[in-house]
Amino acid sequence: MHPKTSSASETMDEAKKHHRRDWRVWYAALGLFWLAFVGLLIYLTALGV
Amino acid sequence: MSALDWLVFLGSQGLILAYGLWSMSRKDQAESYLRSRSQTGWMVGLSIMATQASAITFLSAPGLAYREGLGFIQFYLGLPLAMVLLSVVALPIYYRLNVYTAYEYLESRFDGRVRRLAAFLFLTQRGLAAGLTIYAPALILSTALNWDLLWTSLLTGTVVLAYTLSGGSRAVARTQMLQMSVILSGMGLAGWWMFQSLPAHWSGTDALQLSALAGKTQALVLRWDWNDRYSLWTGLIGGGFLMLSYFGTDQSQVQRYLGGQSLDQSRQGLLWNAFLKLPMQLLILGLGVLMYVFYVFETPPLNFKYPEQVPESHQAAFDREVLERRRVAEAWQSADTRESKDRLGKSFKQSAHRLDSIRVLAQSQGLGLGTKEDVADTNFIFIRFVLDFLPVGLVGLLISMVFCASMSSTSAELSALSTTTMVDFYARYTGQSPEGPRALRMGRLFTLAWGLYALGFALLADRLGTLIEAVNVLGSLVYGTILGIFLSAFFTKKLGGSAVLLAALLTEALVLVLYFGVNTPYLWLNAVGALSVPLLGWFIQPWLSGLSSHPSQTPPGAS
Repeated sequence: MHPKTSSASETMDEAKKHHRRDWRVWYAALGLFWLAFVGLLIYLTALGV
Repeated sequence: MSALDWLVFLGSQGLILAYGLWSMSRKDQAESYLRSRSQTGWMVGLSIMATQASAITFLSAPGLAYREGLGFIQFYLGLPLAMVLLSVVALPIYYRLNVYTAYEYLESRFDGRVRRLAAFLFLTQRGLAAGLTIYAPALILSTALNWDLLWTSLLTGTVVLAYTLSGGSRAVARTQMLQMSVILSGMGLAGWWMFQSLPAHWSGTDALQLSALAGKTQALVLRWDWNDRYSLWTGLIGGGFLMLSYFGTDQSQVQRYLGGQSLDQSRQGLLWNAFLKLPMQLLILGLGVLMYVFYVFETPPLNFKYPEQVPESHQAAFDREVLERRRVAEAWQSADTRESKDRLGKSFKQSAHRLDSIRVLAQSQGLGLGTKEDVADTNFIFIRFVLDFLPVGLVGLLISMVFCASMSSTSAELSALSTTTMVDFYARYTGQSPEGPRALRMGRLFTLAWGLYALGFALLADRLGTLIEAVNVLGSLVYGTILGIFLSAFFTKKLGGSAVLLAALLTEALVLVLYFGVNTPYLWLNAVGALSVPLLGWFIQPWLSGLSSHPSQTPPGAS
């Protein structure tokens, strides 16, 4: 394989990896947010008990 | 309404209408009429939220929370997971196939019949739902403001039709921005007004604890009971499937997020919706809870729909109990020992309970109006507060907010109905491209036809109970089946068109029997429908292996 092509493909792979990691951060943040929200609902429910 | 209210109302509506007309683009007109690929992630998110939150959301939900507390929030708990699943599974497929409608994908995966069935189910359900989104606010506004129902429906319907016709999908997306701003500022100002109207020595914590004593802050129901309308489980499972179906397969939403500049922007839009929807809904319901505290210090009408027509005997008992509840609340707030606070808290609970009993008894006797009148008043609680208590100018803004919410949903629905008719039926059978000047003319014609259909239904609809539920029930009757078809497409490799078609028809029959025959709570229908299609298909497939569909059934020119 031509070294230049190989390096370009490596760069693309790297970019894809970053891209996937970015989305995983979004999903993880959303999961934490959801848990915090349910925590708030539990607090509100407990107020009336 | 005063002259200033009219000025605010007509000014804000005129601005939005003008903007919708102006945003009609000369370039790429046909494509942007059906699909607008111009929005950033947060714009997509806002558009998705504006489409889902109809006027019914803003009118009914605070009233629901005023009466029953925060429990309705559980309905939305499955939404974030649904958004993640869609952004990982469905969105990349829609982008790869470069589709206008979600149903196009079904033809490439199965055959034209499955695509037609799903598109047909969508059109049937969404056409009626569009009628409801015009009718519901018109009914509430006309009753509260003494406007004529026919003219109110016609006014809303005609304005929304005008700008959807002029600018199509792009105009819808752009005007939704302005509409969301009006909606959020209206709700925010109403909440602020309620809070600052409480007695000066009452803090936010006092208000929260008082509403908790009345059971209004109960947001979660953890017990498992099939018959609970709203619990953590119906919300997560039933609501989750409903959200998956609504956002993943309902063209009025698919069209919104396919309007992103790229796959990443569309995905961001879905995730912004996942982040913002729950807090927004909790704030809307919180407004209802705050309204409950507000009415501890004001005298609420026994019935918010017919405030003037309550029989004397009920009214006198109700008024006495309102005063008692207020007295106990004041004493509770100023109590300085733990014991007296607990004792007065119990008294407040009992008084609130007695007040409810008087109201329920009066309503069960039809308020003496005769049995034919529907005296349920949940939908009228918020609008009556607006008319009775908000200052001049703010009333106009809130009425404008209701119109904005109605129009942002209706325009997205009409646009999606037109696109589906155009792409999945007209272009599919005539072999014509869904783009170009001729397609633009046809698209407008379909929008007009669907607009008139929805308006016709809006003018005929009556007696629908709690309106926010009526819309969700209608959706749940077909969403499960449509989602089941899509799940079969996404996650099975061996199921063919004929097996899925038969399974979908059997499932739809099953869903109708479960709802009308066995009275199953509607949120479960989504889960049952969605799981039943692939399961039945799996059993049917071996029997039909020789009959599965052939590509030759697709006529030439299919998209």
